[in-house]
Amino acid sequence: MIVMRLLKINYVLLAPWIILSLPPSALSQQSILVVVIVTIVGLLGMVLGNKTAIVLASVSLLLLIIWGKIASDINKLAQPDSALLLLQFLLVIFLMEASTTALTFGSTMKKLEGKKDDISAEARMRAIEWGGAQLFSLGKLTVAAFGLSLGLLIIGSIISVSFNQLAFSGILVLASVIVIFILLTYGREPESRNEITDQFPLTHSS
Amino acid sequence: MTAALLTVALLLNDLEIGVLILGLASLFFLSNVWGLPDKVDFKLDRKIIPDETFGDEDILVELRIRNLTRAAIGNLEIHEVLDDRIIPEKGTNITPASIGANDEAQVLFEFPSPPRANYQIGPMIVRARDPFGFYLTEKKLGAESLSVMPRPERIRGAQLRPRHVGPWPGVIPSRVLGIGTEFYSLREYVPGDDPKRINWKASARYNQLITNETEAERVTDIMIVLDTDVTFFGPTESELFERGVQAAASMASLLLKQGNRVGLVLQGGERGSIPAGFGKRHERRILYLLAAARPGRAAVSTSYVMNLLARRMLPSRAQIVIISPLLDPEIKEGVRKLSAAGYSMLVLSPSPTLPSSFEQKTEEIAFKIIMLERSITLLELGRSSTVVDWPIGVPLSALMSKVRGPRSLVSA
Repeated sequence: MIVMRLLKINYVLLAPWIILSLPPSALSQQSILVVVIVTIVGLLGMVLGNKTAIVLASVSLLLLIIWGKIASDINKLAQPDSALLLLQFLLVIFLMEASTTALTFGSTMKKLEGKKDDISAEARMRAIEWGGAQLFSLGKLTVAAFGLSLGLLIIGSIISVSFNQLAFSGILVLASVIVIFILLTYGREPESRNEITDQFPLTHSS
Repeated sequence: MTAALLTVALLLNDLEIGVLILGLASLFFLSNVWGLPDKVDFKLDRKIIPDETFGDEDILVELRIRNLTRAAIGNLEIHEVLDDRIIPEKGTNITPASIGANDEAQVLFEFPSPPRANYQIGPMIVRARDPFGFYLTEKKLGAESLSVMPRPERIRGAQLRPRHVGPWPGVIPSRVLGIGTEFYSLREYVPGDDPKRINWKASARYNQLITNETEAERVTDIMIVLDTDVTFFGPTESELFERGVQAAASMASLLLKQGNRVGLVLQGGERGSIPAGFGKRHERRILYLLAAARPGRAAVSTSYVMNLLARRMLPSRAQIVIISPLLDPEIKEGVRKLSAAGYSMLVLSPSPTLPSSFEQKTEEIAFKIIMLERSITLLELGRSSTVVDWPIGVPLSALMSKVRGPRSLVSA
């Protein structure tokens, strides 16, 4: 329950940390204004239970991270630390999904508000258990993905330093594309359009 | 996003942007491995307790979801689709859940009985997703029905006298000699007659033993026609409609209890028919159809439907009970035709109550004209059938006990 409440204000902490770590010139010296806008959109999304606003705020942060990197390249500014970049990127994705979980949890609890019978108490317990399990799974996957990416990055850097040739870099990019393709499609059939979802839209998505 | 990142990384010749792709790809990969199993299977089950009600008890819905997968499913959404008029008072019909391998989740919710109607409970949709929602598996359990039926009022008896009777003993006088309770004639005593049936007064007068003969009582075939066209009566139409439905349920219940074969024709916003039958199960079928009744004007006139179905569903000279507020002027012609064909007709007409006030004078005049037309219809129908005008506040039981033979106008 405490974690769910903390998630409601995650944009207040996340947005300033990410946006203020970007070079101010990338945002035309308007970093504070961008921080305020993104924080308000995210906060409103969390308070009003509007998933679109949450996705908008999170996608804005993801795009800002990428734009910060591009701007640094173009303006030849100091390059941000790759691990930090990756951490911020994955953290935004994690918090976007965690926020959706918090919204679903909140809406379920709202439906059970004021109901003091055994059936409602059981439903409340089920929602709490689900919330805990869902956040734990999200956290586990994010940490594992961060570790895996960092590991691959370190291996890539060692190889790149050892064989710093253009042809080798090209082969490395091609190999990366193939590996990514395998990772994305591993053990899965392509998703087909689902008639049930068309008929009865998802009440929440995480 | 992955493709966009890759393109940007290649365009800027900056492989550090590619690092972000690694993050996304890792998330996908790990969601594949740890997220949702390849094959997810559930066994879904639902119980509605009770699934047929008279509207005076709470309804409990019990959903069971058995995970037949060998792995736990952490992110499950259970959604039981409900009618807007049903609001759970205990528990909830939409809930997230986690469920262990080969484990079972039970979702309960309870709601007060909604107004009379047939409701769909479900479908139940169970959606399993990996934590990040990259993959989705759904399973659906079809809807079941909850029927909130009208509770039949207890009526002591309705003295119907159709010319057609069946072979089985019942309560309808059959105009032939047989076992019954109504006196029919006298005759000489013959050995073997029940001594209890000896008429001692007549025996003394004729100086020989005389016995009473009774009229045989049999069952008959009855069709109840419920006309729910109450659209002209404004504020009182809901009450008028409910009385009609209640009367149809009560009459059907009474006539079935007496052993008769009873059918139903429903006319109005919702149309339907049930051929004549008997027994408890048949009573449920009739109440189920009555639960679906909605006020409104039927596309096809009641008179036409009544004439068509009576000739198809009933033997000639059987009994027809029409429950109608008598707004359709064609109904007179329909009743006249059926009477001429030999059917015994009973018209039960719930009369509308006078509204406490009218918004405009024209409304008051219109109401009075409608009431006048209805009175004329009642009088005209009285010439060919038994007509019962049923004012509000009078119990149907009291009114039906006054119904005697055909061609009488009963008014409370």
